[in-house]
Amino acid sequence: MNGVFTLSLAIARSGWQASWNRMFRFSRMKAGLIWLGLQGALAFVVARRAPALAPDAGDAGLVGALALIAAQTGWFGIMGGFSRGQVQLYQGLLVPLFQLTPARPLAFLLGRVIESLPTRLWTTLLWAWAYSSIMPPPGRWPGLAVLWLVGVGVGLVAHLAGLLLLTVWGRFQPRTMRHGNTIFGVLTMAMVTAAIIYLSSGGTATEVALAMRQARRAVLTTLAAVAGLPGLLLAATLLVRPQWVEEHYRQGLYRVLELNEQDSDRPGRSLWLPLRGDGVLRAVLSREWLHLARSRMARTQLLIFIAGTVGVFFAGRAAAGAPMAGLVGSIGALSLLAWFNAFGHWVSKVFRQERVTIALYRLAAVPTPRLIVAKLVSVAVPSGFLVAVAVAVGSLAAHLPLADAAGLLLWTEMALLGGVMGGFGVAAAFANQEPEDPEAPGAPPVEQGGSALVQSNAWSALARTVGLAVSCALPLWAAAGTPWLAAPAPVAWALALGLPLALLVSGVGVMLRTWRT
Amino acid sequence: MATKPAILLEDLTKTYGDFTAVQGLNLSVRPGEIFGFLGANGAGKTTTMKMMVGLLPPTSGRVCILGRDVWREPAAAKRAIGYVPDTPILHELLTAREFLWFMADLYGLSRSEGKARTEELLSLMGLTAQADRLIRDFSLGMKRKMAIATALLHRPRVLLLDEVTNGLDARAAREVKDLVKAWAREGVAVVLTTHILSIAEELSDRIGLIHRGKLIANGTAAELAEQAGIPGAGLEESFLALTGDELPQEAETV
Repeated sequence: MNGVFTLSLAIARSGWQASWNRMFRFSRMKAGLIWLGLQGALAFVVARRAPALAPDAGDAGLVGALALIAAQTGWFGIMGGFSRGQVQLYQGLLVPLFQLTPARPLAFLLGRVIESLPTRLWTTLLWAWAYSSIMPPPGRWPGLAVLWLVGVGVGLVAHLAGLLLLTVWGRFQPRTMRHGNTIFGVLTMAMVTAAIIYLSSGGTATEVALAMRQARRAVLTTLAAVAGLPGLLLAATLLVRPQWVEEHYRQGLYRVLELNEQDSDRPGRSLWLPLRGDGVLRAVLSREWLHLARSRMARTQLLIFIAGTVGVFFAGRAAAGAPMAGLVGSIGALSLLAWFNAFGHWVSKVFRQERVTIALYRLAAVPTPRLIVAKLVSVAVPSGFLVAVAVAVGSLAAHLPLADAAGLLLWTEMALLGGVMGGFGVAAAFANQEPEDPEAPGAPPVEQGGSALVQSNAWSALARTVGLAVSCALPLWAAAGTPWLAAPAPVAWALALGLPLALLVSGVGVMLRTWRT
Repeated sequence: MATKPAILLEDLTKTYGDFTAVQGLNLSVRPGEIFGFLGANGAGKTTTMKMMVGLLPPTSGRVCILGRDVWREPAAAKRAIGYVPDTPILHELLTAREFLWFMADLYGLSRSEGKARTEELLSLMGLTAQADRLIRDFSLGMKRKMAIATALLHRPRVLLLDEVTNGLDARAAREVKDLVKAWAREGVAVVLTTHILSIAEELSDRIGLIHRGKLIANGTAAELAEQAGIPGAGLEESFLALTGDELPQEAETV
């Protein structure tokens, strides 16, 4: 096993080095710092919403926080082992590279587990810090240490459980393996959405921890069954009969590689939108919508949207009889959130998700205004349709009269329009940024089209996400009667529609100046 | 005494359901021999190469490299193989130097040997000045050179080169062709696939022609011309004659 361990370390080291290169060393704007900052901010928000219990309830707080962090790290551990493991061990470009060498496959499995350790240590520390604020002061810091150790331990065992699931699934059902990713993705998004709704509607991590303490037996049993036993089984097998794991992984990998070969030969069907008139509009809409229809990822995102719409249904039932402002704040907001979670990237990445093919518009000398209009239509129409579906589901659940349902739909679509305008504007401002802009020292600089900010992937991603989120939230806030921050209606609406409009106008202006066809 | 083959394919077959990609392929390549492996798109070249390097399990038959079965003794066989795929397989978020160190670890080279070999190959490929840049930022030609350096890292006795000159400029392509000849003189068995028939003609001691998964011709360029029934013809004419039924109807109409 010594040789295998050395190789595993080499593989883990290459992963760390690649992350370091991408996030810090060769990233002009040090994307890693932004990422760390966002993680810290999230943990800070949760910590702020986790008030300390009274001193005599310290033990109860620790037990609850332990159950909470164990459930969280257990879930993300299994998901990481399965989903990330699938990319790293079965699908990635590097998989054939590993196959070419005499290195034992076992080293790749172990290497990926070792590679995940620093990230696991760091993120678990953040969450342990956030949840430790549940405990009263004298016990907080020892509690943090216990939470951290337990979180890391559970996460690691759960990671192994995810790998075991992946290995067995890949060996016996390789064709359906990717559905596992879909299931994990949908469930995770549903849980994250529920957590956001819970926290933003006044819930606290302390209440969740206390509820987890009440249910600790069930939590422990579930964790042991789903993560603990399978994870420990894999760990024991790796120690006693590593060749068993290795052989199953190897056979599964061969079957996956073989299926990939066959998949590439599957014939498709050529389709094009039967639109008359503007060829650019026809081309862009056909390309965008066919891409969506054929994308496996879009199907997964549709499931995420459906999961969000189920949330809208329950919100609708709870909101029956509420005034219009309340309906907008619950059914409307959740409908928009369901769309944002699943398909918000349509808007924020409208120019970038094409990657290198975006250059085709330049090569064909497509006039920029027509490209902008076509792209705007391509994201606005399906977005409007999906939000309408979610609002209809919520309205039916709330038994709204037709007039109220129409009013709710109008307000929600207006918020969506604001989001699309603002998000599209920021995306347009960054459209000139080349998808694969070289970041290495000495590499040729990207085409000059704006400030240094424009030249950074990380900053552009952040700006596009914030631009979209704020543009969606402001009209919703105004339509819901300006909760949290009271403002006169005219001022609220001026801000709510003015900012997205300003973003749209200025972003499109930047694009018109810098995008030369 | 006959030389033991460096590469031996015995009745190698690959099927996907009803479709047979490679059918009963028998082939041997001697140490120091350059074997050109030609065929039209989809003829089965890449599938055969993938089975030879251990990327795709054969449905039946076997592949032996220096007497070791690639699928029964993979570690021993792979130590002897250097493979340059048609699309370079590289860790793009590592620098050129880091990537070669990484591969040296995977091939089991000692730390000092790995570092020395890395510098040697970077120099050989003319990449020393770019050694600390991310591979992601390399041109296709530079990536191809990196793939060649990777294949040579562990001093293999068998080299499998898939479209090895693609993306290289004229000078670099000339250098690679000279290197292939030099490796063969040192006793390395080389199998190369290419669509540029002049390269195959210039470099190969022997040429095999695969068509619809079957090896339909095998020999020197002159022998292929004989098999095609046009003695004295060049490789292009032989190739076209031997794979004549491949010509699409539309092309004939045009």
